[in-house]
Amino acid sequence: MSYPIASSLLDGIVLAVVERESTYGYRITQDVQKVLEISESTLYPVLRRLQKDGCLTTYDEAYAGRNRRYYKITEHGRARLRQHRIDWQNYRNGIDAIFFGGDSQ
Amino acid sequence: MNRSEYMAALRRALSVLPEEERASALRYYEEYFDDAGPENEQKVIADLGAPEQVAAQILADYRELTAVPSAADGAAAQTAKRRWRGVSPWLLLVLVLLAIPVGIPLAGALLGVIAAVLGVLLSIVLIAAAFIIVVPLCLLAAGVVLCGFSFVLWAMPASAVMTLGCGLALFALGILVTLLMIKLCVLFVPPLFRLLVAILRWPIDKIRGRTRKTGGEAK
Repeated sequence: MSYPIASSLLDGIVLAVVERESTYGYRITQDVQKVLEISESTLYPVLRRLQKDGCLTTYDEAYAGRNRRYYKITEHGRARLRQHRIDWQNYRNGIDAIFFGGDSQ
Repeated sequence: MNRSEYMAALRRALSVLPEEERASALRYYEEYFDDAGPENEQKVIADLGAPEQVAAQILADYRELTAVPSAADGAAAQTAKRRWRGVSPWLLLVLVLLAIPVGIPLAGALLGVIAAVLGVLLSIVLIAAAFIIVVPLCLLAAGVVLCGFSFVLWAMPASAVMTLGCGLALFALGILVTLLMIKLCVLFVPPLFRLLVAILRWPIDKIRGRTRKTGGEAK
Protein backbone atom coordinates (compact mmCIF):
# COMPACT_ATOMS: atom_id res chain seq x y z
CA MET A 1 0.00 0.00 0.00
CA SER A 2 1.27 3.49 -0.72
CA TYR A 3 0.13 6.79 0.74
CA PRO A 4 -0.36 9.94 -1.29
CA ILE A 5 2.52 12.35 -0.69
CA ALA A 6 1.68 15.90 0.32
CA SER A 7 3.64 18.55 -1.54
CA SER A 8 5.02 19.92 1.72
CA LEU A 9 6.42 16.47 2.57
CA LEU A 10 8.00 16.27 -0.87
CA ASP A 11 9.60 19.70 -0.27
CA GLY A 12 11.12 18.39 2.95
CA ILE A 13 12.38 15.20 1.31
CA VAL A 14 14.03 17.08 -1.56
CA LEU A 15 15.63 19.54 0.87
CA ALA A 16 16.98 16.64 2.94
CA VAL A 17 18.41 14.91 -0.15
CA VAL A 18 20.11 18.09 -1.36
CA GLU A 19 21.40 18.89 2.12
CA ARG A 20 23.44 15.68 2.22
CA GLU A 21 25.35 16.82 -0.85
CA SER A 22 24.79 19.20 -3.73
CA THR A 23 23.41 17.11 -6.53
CA TYR A 24 21.58 17.17 -9.87
CA GLY A 25 18.03 16.51 -11.02
CA TYR A 26 18.42 12.94 -12.25
CA ARG A 27 20.21 11.82 -9.07
CA ILE A 28 17.64 13.48 -6.83
CA THR A 29 14.86 11.69 -8.69
CA GLN A 30 16.67 8.35 -8.40
CA ASP A 31 17.32 8.88 -4.67
CA VAL A 32 13.75 9.79 -3.89
CA GLN A 33 12.42 6.94 -6.03
CA LYS A 34 14.33 4.46 -3.89
CA VAL A 35 11.88 5.11 -1.06
CA LEU A 36 8.81 6.69 -2.67
CA GLU A 37 6.68 5.89 -5.67
CA ILE A 38 6.88 9.19 -7.51
CA SER A 39 6.72 9.86 -11.20
CA GLU A 40 9.87 11.04 -12.97
CA SER A 41 8.20 14.33 -13.75
CA THR A 42 7.17 15.16 -10.18
CA LEU A 43 10.40 16.72 -9.03
CA TYR A 44 11.09 19.47 -11.55
CA PRO A 45 8.22 21.69 -10.29
CA VAL A 46 9.29 21.01 -6.70
CA LEU A 47 12.92 21.96 -7.41
CA ARG A 48 11.85 25.08 -9.32
CA ARG A 49 9.54 26.15 -6.49
CA LEU A 50 12.19 25.60 -3.81
CA GLN A 51 14.63 27.55 -5.95
CA LYS A 52 12.20 30.46 -6.26
CA ASP A 53 11.52 30.34 -2.54
CA GLY A 54 15.25 30.84 -1.95
CA CYS A 55 15.66 27.38 -0.36
CA LEU A 56 17.89 26.09 -3.15
CA THR A 57 20.38 27.67 -5.54
CA THR A 58 21.87 26.20 -8.67
CA TYR A 59 25.33 26.18 -10.13
CA ASP A 60 26.76 24.63 -13.25
CA GLU A 61 29.67 22.26 -13.30
CA ALA A 62 31.37 20.71 -16.30
CA TYR A 63 30.71 16.99 -16.61
CA ALA A 64 31.46 14.73 -19.59
CA GLY A 65 31.83 17.62 -21.98
CA ARG A 66 28.69 19.45 -20.96
CA ASN A 67 27.42 21.59 -18.10
CA ARG A 68 25.45 19.84 -15.45
CA ARG A 69 23.18 21.88 -13.22
CA TYR A 70 23.65 21.17 -9.53
CA TYR A 71 21.28 22.10 -6.73
CA LYS A 72 22.68 23.41 -3.47
CA ILE A 73 20.80 24.11 -0.24
CA THR A 74 20.80 27.69 1.14
CA GLU A 75 20.70 28.88 4.75
CA HIS A 76 17.00 29.59 4.25
CA GLY A 77 16.58 26.05 2.95
CA ARG A 78 18.34 24.63 6.00
CA ALA A 79 16.01 26.55 8.29
CA ARG A 80 13.02 25.26 6.32
CA LEU A 81 14.37 21.71 6.59
CA ARG A 82 14.78 22.04 10.38
CA GLN A 83 11.11 23.00 10.57
CA HIS A 84 10.15 20.08 8.32
CA ARG A 85 12.04 17.70 10.64
CA ILE A 86 10.21 19.03 13.70
CA ASP A 87 6.84 18.86 11.94
CA TRP A 88 7.53 15.34 10.73
CA GLN A 89 8.56 14.15 14.19
CA ASN A 90 5.35 15.52 15.70
CA TYR A 91 3.28 13.99 12.93
CA ARG A 92 5.00 10.61 13.24
CA ASN A 93 4.68 10.57 17.04
CA GLY A 94 0.97 11.24 16.72
CA ILE A 95 0.43 8.43 14.19
CA ASP A 96 2.67 6.06 16.19
CA ALA A 97 0.64 6.71 19.32
CA ILE A 98 -2.51 5.69 17.48
CA PHE A 99 -1.00 2.73 15.60
CA PHE A 100 1.06 1.22 18.39
CA GLY A 101 -0.38 2.79 21.54
CA GLY A 102 2.10 3.67 24.22
CA ASP A 103 2.80 6.95 25.90
CA SER A 104 4.58 8.96 23.23
CA GLN A 105 2.06 11.79 23.72
CA MET B 1 8.97 8.84 -30.31
CA ASN B 2 12.64 9.61 -29.72
CA ARG B 3 14.30 12.11 -27.42
CA SER B 4 14.34 15.08 -29.83
CA GLU B 5 10.68 14.54 -30.76
CA TYR B 6 9.80 14.32 -27.09
CA MET B 7 11.66 17.57 -26.31
CA ALA B 8 10.05 19.35 -29.28
CA ALA B 9 6.60 18.32 -28.05
CA LEU B 10 7.48 19.51 -24.55
CA ARG B 11 8.68 22.85 -25.94
CA ARG B 12 5.38 23.31 -27.81
CA ALA B 13 3.34 22.40 -24.74
CA LEU B 14 5.27 24.94 -22.63
CA SER B 15 4.94 27.76 -25.17
CA VAL B 16 2.65 29.80 -22.89
CA LEU B 17 5.40 30.10 -20.27
CA PRO B 18 7.77 33.09 -20.18
CA GLU B 19 11.01 32.39 -22.03
CA GLU B 20 13.09 32.04 -18.87
CA GLU B 21 10.74 29.51 -17.26
CA ARG B 22 10.49 27.45 -20.42
CA ALA B 23 14.25 27.44 -20.94
CA SER B 24 14.76 26.30 -17.35
CA ALA B 25 12.31 23.41 -17.68
CA LEU B 26 13.66 22.31 -21.07
CA ARG B 27 17.22 22.40 -19.80
CA TYR B 28 16.23 20.27 -16.80
CA TYR B 29 14.74 17.55 -19.04
CA GLU B 30 17.60 17.73 -21.56
CA GLU B 31 19.98 17.06 -18.68
CA TYR B 32 17.68 14.36 -17.38
CA PHE B 33 18.06 12.51 -20.69
CA ASP B 34 21.83 13.15 -20.63
CA ASP B 35 22.23 11.80 -17.11
CA ALA B 36 20.00 8.78 -17.76
CA GLY B 37 22.25 7.89 -20.70
CA PRO B 38 21.34 7.14 -24.30
CA GLU B 39 20.69 3.49 -23.48
CA ASN B 40 17.81 4.53 -21.20
CA GLU B 41 16.20 6.98 -23.65
CA GLN B 42 13.08 4.91 -24.26
CA LYS B 43 12.73 4.05 -20.58
CA VAL B 44 12.89 7.74 -19.61
CA ILE B 45 10.29 8.65 -22.23
CA ALA B 46 8.02 5.90 -20.93
CA ASP B 47 8.57 6.88 -17.29
CA LEU B 48 8.08 10.60 -17.84
CA GLY B 49 4.75 10.06 -19.59
CA ALA B 50 3.22 12.23 -22.28
CA PRO B 51 5.03 15.57 -22.77
CA GLU B 52 1.68 17.34 -22.48
CA GLN B 53 1.20 15.80 -19.05
CA VAL B 54 4.69 16.83 -17.92
CA ALA B 55 3.99 20.33 -19.22
CA ALA B 56 0.60 20.45 -17.46
CA GLN B 57 2.33 19.75 -14.14
CA ILE B 58 4.87 22.54 -14.72
CA LEU B 59 2.19 24.97 -15.83
CA ALA B 60 -0.03 24.18 -12.84
CA ASP B 61 2.82 24.81 -10.44
CA TYR B 62 3.85 27.98 -12.25
CA ARG B 63 0.29 29.35 -12.08
CA GLU B 64 0.09 28.52 -8.40
CA LEU B 65 3.27 30.51 -7.86
CA THR B 66 2.41 33.59 -9.86
CA ALA B 67 -1.14 33.94 -11.13
CA VAL B 68 -3.16 34.21 -7.91
CA PRO B 69 -3.99 37.93 -7.97
CA SER B 70 -4.87 38.37 -4.29
CA ALA B 71 -1.60 36.77 -3.26
CA ALA B 72 0.45 38.71 -5.80
CA ASP B 73 1.26 41.56 -3.42
CA GLY B 74 2.14 39.23 -0.59
CA ALA B 75 4.30 37.15 -2.88
CA ALA B 76 6.06 40.28 -4.13
CA ALA B 77 6.69 41.40 -0.57
CA GLN B 78 7.94 37.93 0.28
CA THR B 79 10.35 37.84 -2.65
CA ALA B 80 11.56 41.30 -1.64
CA LYS B 81 12.12 40.03 1.88
CA ARG B 82 13.85 36.95 0.58
CA ARG B 83 16.13 39.01 -1.60
CA TRP B 84 17.01 41.02 1.49
CA ARG B 85 17.69 37.85 3.40
CA GLY B 86 19.99 36.86 0.55
CA VAL B 87 22.31 39.80 1.30
CA SER B 88 25.07 38.50 3.52
CA PRO B 89 25.35 40.09 7.00
CA TRP B 90 28.94 41.15 6.24
CA LEU B 91 27.94 43.01 3.11
CA LEU B 92 25.18 44.65 5.11
CA LEU B 93 27.70 45.65 7.79
CA VAL B 94 30.05 47.15 5.17
CA LEU B 95 27.14 49.04 3.63
CA VAL B 96 26.15 50.39 7.03
CA LEU B 97 29.74 51.45 7.78
CA LEU B 98 30.01 53.14 4.39
CA ALA B 99 26.71 54.88 4.99
CA ILE B 100 27.83 56.36 8.34
CA PRO B 101 29.79 59.39 6.97
CA VAL B 102 26.82 60.36 4.83
CA GLY B 103 24.13 59.09 7.18
CA ILE B 104 25.14 60.89 10.38
CA PRO B 105 25.22 64.43 8.91
CA LEU B 106 21.99 63.66 7.05
CA ALA B 107 20.35 62.38 10.22
CA GLY B 108 21.70 65.45 12.06
CA ALA B 109 20.32 67.79 9.44
CA LEU B 110 16.97 66.01 9.53
CA LEU B 111 16.85 66.25 13.32
CA GLY B 112 17.77 69.95 13.06
CA VAL B 113 14.97 70.63 10.62
CA ILE B 114 12.47 68.75 12.79
CA ALA B 115 13.64 70.65 15.89
CA ALA B 116 13.37 73.99 14.03
CA VAL B 117 9.84 73.23 12.84
CA LEU B 118 8.82 72.15 16.35
CA GLY B 119 10.43 75.33 17.79
CA VAL B 120 8.55 77.59 15.37
CA LEU B 121 5.27 75.81 16.11
CA LEU B 122 5.87 76.08 19.87
CA SER B 123 6.70 79.78 19.65
CA ILE B 124 3.59 80.46 17.59
CA VAL B 125 1.49 78.66 20.19
CA LEU B 126 3.21 80.55 23.04
CA ILE B 127 2.80 83.94 21.34
CA ALA B 128 -0.85 83.23 20.66
CA ALA B 129 -1.36 82.11 24.26
CA ALA B 130 0.47 85.20 25.54
CA PHE B 131 -1.61 87.43 23.32
CA ILE B 132 -4.84 85.79 24.40
CA ILE B 133 -3.98 86.03 28.11
CA VAL B 134 -1.83 89.16 28.34
CA VAL B 135 -3.92 91.61 26.28
CA PRO B 136 -7.15 91.30 28.30
CA LEU B 137 -5.17 91.17 31.56
CA CYS B 138 -3.33 94.38 30.66
CA LEU B 139 -6.59 96.11 29.76
CA LEU B 140 -8.21 95.01 33.01
CA ALA B 141 -5.15 96.00 35.03
CA ALA B 142 -4.89 99.39 33.31
CA GLY B 143 -8.58 100.01 34.03
CA VAL B 144 -8.17 99.14 37.72
CA VAL B 145 -5.00 101.25 38.03
CA LEU B 146 -6.66 104.28 36.37
CA CYS B 147 -9.75 103.95 38.58
CA GLY B 148 -7.50 103.78 41.63
CA PHE B 149 -5.41 106.69 40.41
CA SER B 150 -8.56 108.83 39.94
CA PHE B 151 -9.19 108.72 43.73
CA VAL B 152 -5.81 110.40 44.23
CA LEU B 153 -6.82 113.22 41.91
CA TRP B 154 -9.96 114.39 43.81
CA ALA B 155 -8.18 117.78 44.21
CA MET B 156 -8.85 118.24 40.47
CA PRO B 157 -12.39 116.87 40.07
CA ALA B 158 -12.43 117.20 36.29
CA SER B 159 -9.21 115.26 35.89
CA ALA B 160 -10.36 112.72 38.47
CA VAL B 161 -13.67 112.11 36.69
CA MET B 162 -11.86 111.96 33.32
CA THR B 163 -9.35 109.42 34.71
CA LEU B 164 -12.11 107.39 36.39
CA GLY B 165 -14.08 107.37 33.13
CA CYS B 166 -11.07 106.24 31.13
CA GLY B 167 -10.31 103.59 33.76
CA LEU B 168 -13.86 102.25 33.70
CA ALA B 169 -13.87 102.30 29.90
CA LEU B 170 -10.58 100.33 29.79
CA PHE B 171 -11.88 97.89 32.41
CA ALA B 172 -15.03 97.35 30.37
CA LEU B 173 -12.95 96.90 27.23
CA GLY B 174 -10.81 94.40 29.14
CA ILE B 175 -13.91 92.38 30.09
CA LEU B 176 -15.13 92.49 26.50
CA VAL B 177 -11.75 91.38 25.11
CA THR B 178 -11.57 88.64 27.74
CA LEU B 179 -14.99 87.36 26.66
CA LEU B 180 -13.90 87.63 23.03
CA MET B 181 -10.73 85.66 23.71
CA ILE B 182 -12.66 82.99 25.62
CA LYS B 183 -15.06 82.75 22.69
CA LEU B 184 -12.14 82.52 20.26
CA CYS B 185 -10.51 79.81 22.35
CA VAL B 186 -13.73 77.79 22.48
CA LEU B 187 -14.14 78.18 18.72
CA PHE B 188 -10.58 77.50 17.59
CA VAL B 189 -8.71 75.43 20.14
CA PRO B 190 -10.62 72.13 19.81
CA PRO B 191 -10.44 72.09 15.98
CA LEU B 192 -6.74 73.08 16.10
CA PHE B 193 -6.11 70.40 18.67
CA ARG B 194 -7.95 67.86 16.54
CA LEU B 195 -5.92 68.92 13.52
CA LEU B 196 -2.70 68.50 15.46
CA VAL B 197 -3.73 65.05 16.66
CA ALA B 198 -4.72 64.11 13.12
CA ILE B 199 -1.33 65.22 11.78
CA LEU B 200 0.50 63.25 14.46
CA ARG B 201 -1.64 60.15 13.94
CA TRP B 202 -1.43 60.14 10.17
CA PRO B 203 1.89 58.27 9.85
CA ILE B 204 1.00 55.84 12.65
CA ASP B 205 -2.33 55.04 11.02
CA LYS B 206 -0.62 54.56 7.72
CA ILE B 207 1.82 52.03 9.17
CA ARG B 208 -0.90 50.25 11.09
CA GLY B 209 -3.19 50.23 8.06
CA ARG B 210 -0.48 48.68 5.92
CA THR B 211 0.21 45.90 8.41
CA ARG B 212 -3.50 45.24 8.72
CA LYS B 213 -3.78 45.06 4.95
CA THR B 214 -0.90 42.63 4.55
CA GLY B 215 -2.19 40.65 7.51
CA GLY B 216 -5.49 40.25 5.69
CA GLU B 217 -3.76 39.14 2.56
CA ALA B 218 -1.73 36.55 4.40
CA LYS B 219 -4.92 34.70 5.39
